[in-house]
Amino acid sequence: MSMQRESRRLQIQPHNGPADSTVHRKDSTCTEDHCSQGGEPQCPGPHLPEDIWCHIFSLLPMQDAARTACVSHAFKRSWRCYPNLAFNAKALGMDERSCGEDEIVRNFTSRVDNILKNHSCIAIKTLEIVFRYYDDKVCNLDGWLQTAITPGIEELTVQLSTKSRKHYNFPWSLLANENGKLIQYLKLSCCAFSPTVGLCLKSLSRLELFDVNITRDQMGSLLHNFFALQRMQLKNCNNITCLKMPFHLQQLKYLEVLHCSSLKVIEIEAPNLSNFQFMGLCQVQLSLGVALQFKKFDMSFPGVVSYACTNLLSNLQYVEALSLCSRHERKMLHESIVGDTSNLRQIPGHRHDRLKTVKIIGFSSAKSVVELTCHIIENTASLQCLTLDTTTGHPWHSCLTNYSGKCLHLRVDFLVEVGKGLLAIKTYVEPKVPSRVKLNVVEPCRRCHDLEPLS
Amino acid sequence: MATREAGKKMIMLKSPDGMEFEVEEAVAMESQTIRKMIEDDCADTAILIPNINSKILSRVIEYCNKHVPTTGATGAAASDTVAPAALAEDLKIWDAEFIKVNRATRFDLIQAASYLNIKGLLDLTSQTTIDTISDNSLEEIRSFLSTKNDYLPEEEQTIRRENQWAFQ
Repeated sequence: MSMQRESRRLQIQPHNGPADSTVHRKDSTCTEDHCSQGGEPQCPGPHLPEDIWCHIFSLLPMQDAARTACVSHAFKRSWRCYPNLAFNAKALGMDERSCGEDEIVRNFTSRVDNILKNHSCIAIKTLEIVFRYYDDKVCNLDGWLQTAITPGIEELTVQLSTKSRKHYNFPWSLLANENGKLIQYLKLSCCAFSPTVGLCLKSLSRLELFDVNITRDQMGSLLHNFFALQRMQLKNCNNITCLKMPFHLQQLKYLEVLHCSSLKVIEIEAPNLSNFQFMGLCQVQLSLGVALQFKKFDMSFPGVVSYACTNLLSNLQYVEALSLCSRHERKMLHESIVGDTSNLRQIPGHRHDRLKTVKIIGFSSAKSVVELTCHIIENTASLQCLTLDTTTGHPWHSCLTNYSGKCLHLRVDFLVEVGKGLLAIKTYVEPKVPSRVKLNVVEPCRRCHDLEPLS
Repeated sequence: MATREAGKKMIMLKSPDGMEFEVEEAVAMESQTIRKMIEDDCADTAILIPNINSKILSRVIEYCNKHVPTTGATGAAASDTVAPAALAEDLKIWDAEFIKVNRATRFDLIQAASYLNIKGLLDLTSQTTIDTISDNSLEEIRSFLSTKNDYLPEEEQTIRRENQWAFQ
């Protein structure tokens, strides 16, 4: 012990000057109670002013922060003001495999109750409640949110899942007035929407709603309150039929809409949206109120290629990353070009001079796909690499990348279409590819599949 | 191309122990505190940096020199030839070497980074402390941070019981 003390003193000595001022600050912040024992100040993190120490402490994972409360009184005080509460099974030290569901619910509830009871909630900046065994009869979620949401809150996540599939009625009123002023990030999952007056989330820049019961009009009235929104993600929100992103969302750059089964129309008036992603099982109508130019554009629904060719090319002039994914285009919703004697249609006036790399997965001989490919080659001076993948493109499906060492069996009609696709590449694409562009053609491996040469 | 251009503005930084450091303005402006001083026109001749001795200040400048983003015509050319990922990897290795200092120096660097408001340096210097707390037992944390256990036995029992979940 005396050896340790000696070495410590030696290490501290070299910085007399700067340390002086800190000692003063330390004394002033630790005058009360437990500091005086042994004559030395006992703030956590010696040599550091309290505010710097708080910053460092806030970066600790929650479980470690709670554990250090047992180090000393000063650490206990730091823990009581720990600003980033993450209530999930792992962070609360629960092993979900070793106990039954009832026990998990009980333990989760009692741990959260206990922490919040002793916590200085005014210090909370980030609150995360992620619980897949949520049971409204045991967990007092309303109470937790009421305690923990104070005007200091900046990030809030409530991510639930229930056996009954009943949605949690999220108390939006808690974010009304002062409490919502600083909030920047809000993520809700498995929640219901209830209209609230006085909601003014001035700082909200990221909104994520997963499986939230919300209608078109409710969404409209919600968005009405946001001005700083930059990113929005909607996933599995199955009640919404029409999504309108209004003009006042001047800062909105990123919109992601995934698997919202009732959605038919997306209207975008937000003028600076540059990054858009949509994934769905049916076609959606994209209505663009302003002359938007996308940088990243990713759309996936059956028939998207021809939809994009017809409606969206003028918005893709400066696109840097483009992904169109259509699982059913190849099922000949569209005419194959093989055997078609008519000319390829041209799409005049659209150039894409930022695109460097283009990859089309599931390339087929569908006329619209071939037309799109030719259009890209002819109108993209920046193009360096073009990959046409006639397979499903999925790594698990190929013997080179999966564990079984065997390709997934492909049906005969799929292989026939692959043959047609390869023929279309040879006939229509290859002659147009300039020498500066590297063309990669990907086909199913010949070890696992019989690929008939099609002539 | 690495020669200092005549037009590049230099700033003099002075430590309280009387040492002076001439640095490019762009390097000094890695510190948000100094940037604010320069932008508010409070820095025409030399800036006195209180509380940070010359040994620590020289290390801080070394860090800023390495981390200042390359700008202008020559900078753009440089970032075109070196991939950003490789550059980031190089910086990470450099950072790891940089932070191999004793505890007292590290705490001084934390304070300097905080006072001068240099986020990257504050994150880097704090992380070692965070890792040490995360990876060690209570007794080791006490010894690392020179803190005594000031709990009475029954107090310690209570707090242990309360935070039992954190030890699982």
